[in-house]
Amino acid sequence: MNDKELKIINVAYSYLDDSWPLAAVDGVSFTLAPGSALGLVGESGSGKSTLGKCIAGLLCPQRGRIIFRGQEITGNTNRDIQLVFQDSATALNPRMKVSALVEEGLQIQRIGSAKERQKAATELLQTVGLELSLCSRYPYQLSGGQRQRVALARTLILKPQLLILDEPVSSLDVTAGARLLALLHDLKAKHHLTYILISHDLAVVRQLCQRVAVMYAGKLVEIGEVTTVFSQPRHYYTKMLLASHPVPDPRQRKLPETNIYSEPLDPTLRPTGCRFHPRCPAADSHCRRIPPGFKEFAKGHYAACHQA
Amino acid sequence: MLEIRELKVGFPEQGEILWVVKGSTFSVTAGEVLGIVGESGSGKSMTALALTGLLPPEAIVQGEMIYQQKTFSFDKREQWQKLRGTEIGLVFQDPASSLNPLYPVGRSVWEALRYHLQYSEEKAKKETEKLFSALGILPAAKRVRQYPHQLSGGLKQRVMLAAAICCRPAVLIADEPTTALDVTVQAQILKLLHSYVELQQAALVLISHDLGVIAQIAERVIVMCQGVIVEEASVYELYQQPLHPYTKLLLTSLPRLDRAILHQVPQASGAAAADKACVFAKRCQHCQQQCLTKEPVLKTMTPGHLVCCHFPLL
Repeated sequence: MNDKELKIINVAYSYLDDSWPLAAVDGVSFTLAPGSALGLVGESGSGKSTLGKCIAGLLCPQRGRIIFRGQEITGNTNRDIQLVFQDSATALNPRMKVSALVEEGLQIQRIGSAKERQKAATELLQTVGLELSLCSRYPYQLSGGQRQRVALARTLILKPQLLILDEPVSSLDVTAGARLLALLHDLKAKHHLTYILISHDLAVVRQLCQRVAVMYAGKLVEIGEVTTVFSQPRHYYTKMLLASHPVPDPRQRKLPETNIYSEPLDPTLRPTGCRFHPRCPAADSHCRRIPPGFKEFAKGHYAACHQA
Repeated sequence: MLEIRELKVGFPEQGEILWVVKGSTFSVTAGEVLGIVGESGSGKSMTALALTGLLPPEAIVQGEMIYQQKTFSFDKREQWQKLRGTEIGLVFQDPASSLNPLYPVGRSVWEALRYHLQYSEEKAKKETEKLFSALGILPAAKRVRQYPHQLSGGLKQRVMLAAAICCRPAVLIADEPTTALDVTVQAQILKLLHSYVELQQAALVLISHDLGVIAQIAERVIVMCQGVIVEEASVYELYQQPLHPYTKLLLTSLPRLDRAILHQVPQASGAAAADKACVFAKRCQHCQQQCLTKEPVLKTMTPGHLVCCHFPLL
């Protein structure tokens, strides 16, 4: 038995920016157990979407290995790993109808006859809570929530085992978002799926995931159980993210404490030492020079911070 | 200080008028932060555009606004030319597409100063630099000459804020000012908005779909659903005891850091309501016969707490 669904070992990916390599993901490692859900959080530019694309095989990492069920898949797509793209308004082909969009995966993989494919698509549309009357519609005729469900059905039709969800609810209203999260929760239990949920919203991660990985400037800075990390964050960046989260309770206001001058990172700059030190309230000369290594604080709870 | 009476916004569609704001009446006082929440399509943004006289030309507007004892009729749009910028400032939703990519970002501020306050070019540029420093767009002397693509999303939104407040308007309308931003930057922008309100004793109308943001900054909140104000209350009362089922739905649907919410999310989906029905009837768990045949009106339950529902939650 293989107790690890997915192993990410020291993965790095750089984009070429004006012929200078820009390290979007810079040596990230973690493992994922089957049937679990990992949240990947961080600000824009932290490298979370790039890492998602590396795992899905859409980008080939320049360094590191990705091992899925004991097999090395670095740089290759795999039918069992599917990515639900960030923005369903632009990710769905505007000239294809819903039914064709959902069936497309089967068509490309040459699975089943036309009739079987159609049957599979109709079943799946029901599973994701869409009315069959929507089959002949085009993406622009759908609401954001419906589009997101089509995008989900499109990936589920190949019966993947690992689903990478890139900001699934960030473009949705709060009510539509909550319904989609509930659907994702049910699907996971029903089909024994493993999730990687990429989100900038910590509260969304709290709803679906058992574990959370925090990224900053291409590096993993903290990883652990959601409940532990959120109640006892060790890295100052995680603390900052949690403190910035607006609590929906007027009795817990905390605006005055925010430091308005600390700008988020410029992705083209990679500071020496700990990458977070220019924004960190606790940084000292040690942090400016030496990159921190991971320390274990509780079982499975690691953080890379000198001051923790 | 600012009173809106019976604001209606509609668009002609196939010979009929489709009303997207169906008669809103509300007011905001100096030094107060009024939050307006609702889903997309609830009429929040149309309300913001009406208040600044920036609705598209084909829109049909009715109702009036009372500002400093003067009455302005919404259908006379040329009156807004005098108010906009000097009396009413607007911060848009998407800073990336609201700044002209061919102009240095400082220009959107100094142009406003020259136009509204008749500053000389030199004085306007100096004032822009001062404002940039105060809002944390540093180093200001360099930033005013940069172009939008050279600035991060957070800095761009600060520039938008600088352009909105440079003439010290007494009313500031902010339409989803932090939606495109990271949470860390969001907190900073909210703090800047808040300090402007305190310093200038200005009124802020903050439009957002994010109940977390509203809870952090607003004092009074209006909840809109399909063009209708369904509830109005102080922020504390609204979050502790929502009276309208729609408000309750919004609050229970919000993902929270401290607990799981998924078990309590109702699955009912929306459909357009009939003419003579409550706008929320088709999605409401407590819907009764009366809700489908008779439109409820906004009534006061306790002082300052208004609800538009036949059967408010008590």
